Amino acid sequence: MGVRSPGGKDSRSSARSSGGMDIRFSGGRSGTAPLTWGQRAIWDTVRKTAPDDRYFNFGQILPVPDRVRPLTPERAARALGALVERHESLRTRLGAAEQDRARPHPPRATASRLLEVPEPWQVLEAAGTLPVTVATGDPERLLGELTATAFDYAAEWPLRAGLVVDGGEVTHLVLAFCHLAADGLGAEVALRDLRLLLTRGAVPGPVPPQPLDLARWQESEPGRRVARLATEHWEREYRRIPPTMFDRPSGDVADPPVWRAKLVSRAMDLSAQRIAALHATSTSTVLLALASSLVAEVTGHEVCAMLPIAGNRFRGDTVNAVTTLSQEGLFVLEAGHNDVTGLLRAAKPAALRAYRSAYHDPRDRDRLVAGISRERGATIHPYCCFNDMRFTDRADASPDEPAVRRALAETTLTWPLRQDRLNCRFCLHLTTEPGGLGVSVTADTRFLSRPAMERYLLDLESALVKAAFAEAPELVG
Amino acid sequence: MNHPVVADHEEQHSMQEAPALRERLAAMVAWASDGTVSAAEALAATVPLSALGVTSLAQMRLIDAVEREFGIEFDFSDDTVDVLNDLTALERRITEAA
Repeated sequence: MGVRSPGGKDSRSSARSSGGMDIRFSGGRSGTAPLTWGQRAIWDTVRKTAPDDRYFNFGQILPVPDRVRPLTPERAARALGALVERHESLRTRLGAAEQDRARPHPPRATASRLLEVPEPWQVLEAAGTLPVTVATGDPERLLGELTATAFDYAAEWPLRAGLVVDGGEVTHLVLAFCHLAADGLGAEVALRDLRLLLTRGAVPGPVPPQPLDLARWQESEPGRRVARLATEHWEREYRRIPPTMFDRPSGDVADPPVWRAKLVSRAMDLSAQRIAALHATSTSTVLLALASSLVAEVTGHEVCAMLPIAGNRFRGDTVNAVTTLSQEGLFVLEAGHNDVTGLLRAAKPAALRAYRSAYHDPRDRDRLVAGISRERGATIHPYCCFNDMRFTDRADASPDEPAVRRALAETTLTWPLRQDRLNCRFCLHLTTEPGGLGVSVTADTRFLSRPAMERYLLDLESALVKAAFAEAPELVG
Repeated sequence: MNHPVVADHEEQHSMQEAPALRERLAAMVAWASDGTVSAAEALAATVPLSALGVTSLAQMRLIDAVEREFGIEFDFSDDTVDVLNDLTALERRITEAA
């Protein structure tokens, strides 16, 4: 890797006239492969959401650590270049499948044409040039700009990088990811590695598996065995779940039809923690169980099927992979539990089955969904998902009821997003917010009206607070 | 008390094997939970391991590690959670599958 200072002579990054610079990277191997399961799952979702696929862009901001200050743009660019060299997903784009490449005049993969291709391949480049935006002011604003438009999956690198400078010194590095390159946990790894590259000049430890390696393992016999185990769960449950969860017209369609309601609630946070501690489980399982139970109540179904997004980083070697491993699992829970103890007793193994089923080949799932849908005479898809985007999960039984009930007064509800299209009807997201637990519902108002979304969130909060102070089981080993 | 030599040997063997397996499992719990639950805490636990901080993510990592290490397969039935919460039950599951 070489570096050229802005306007300078020697090699690696160069200034662009309009608030930017270019980083040249050169990182070893190139190659092509079919998509990994995770890439395939995201690609399918992107295609169904386009042209609103900017929805899947996300980013991270790294304040420059004190010990490397003052940091010049050139040094920051060197670290960014090293990051792209270490993690192949950051220099992987999509292109035609191998059989199409072999044709004498392969079709040129433009962004719009590529969106028509269900099975593109991943194309890893060894070297290239990454443009970096240099700006002053609020890093959040720069992140907003970098994530504002959908990626060109065929032509653009899947990482948009930015530097915030103040008087010639870099104060923040901003990374905007295409979801094909990383999921939330992968982006965390990238951010940690970028910090190490700035502070130590290198990342210790072995290089984690790269998307090309994962794609090859997934096609191997051990990979196919994992896929088969997961598919068996999908097949068994898809024969008995409701064809879809939100199946009745709401009669109150908003314009545009897709809206997000977001509740930030400290009372919900404290309650989930208390339930988790009393019932020896995680807040994620508590929230998945109660959210599913409430979906069953709202929709009137006797069985609730929800698709939790699982990180799929259970294997030791994939923990530090910068790629998109997250996929939907299938969580199925019967309605009608009388108390939270019974609900969680059923939800805990159901959650493990869901997490196991998340590491699957979407092609297997597509095949079985098509087959079972034909058998049942209806398209089977829950269109009801759950995404816990928090990085910590804490259990704590200490909050008392008066304190939790007082916290209810601090709860806020906002409507932070609206758009035309979404490939789901009900998406529940959990985030960590300064004011408490963030729980948002992004829903298609053709099936769940805006007042019903608001009511769902407030009812979920009430159910959690009530369950937190219900009788708990005695824990025995 | 006199025991046949073979029985003595088997008993000693089994006495040496049992703690080794249990300690290996405890070390795997510590790894799976990123040290939230130490091997010593797992060995001494009198409450479910999940009550000590073994989350569902850690349980999935433990399942993956145990399946690879011992060549067994969990069936993910309702009692899987109980097995993962109890080192003795986990030990029994592995011994029975061997």
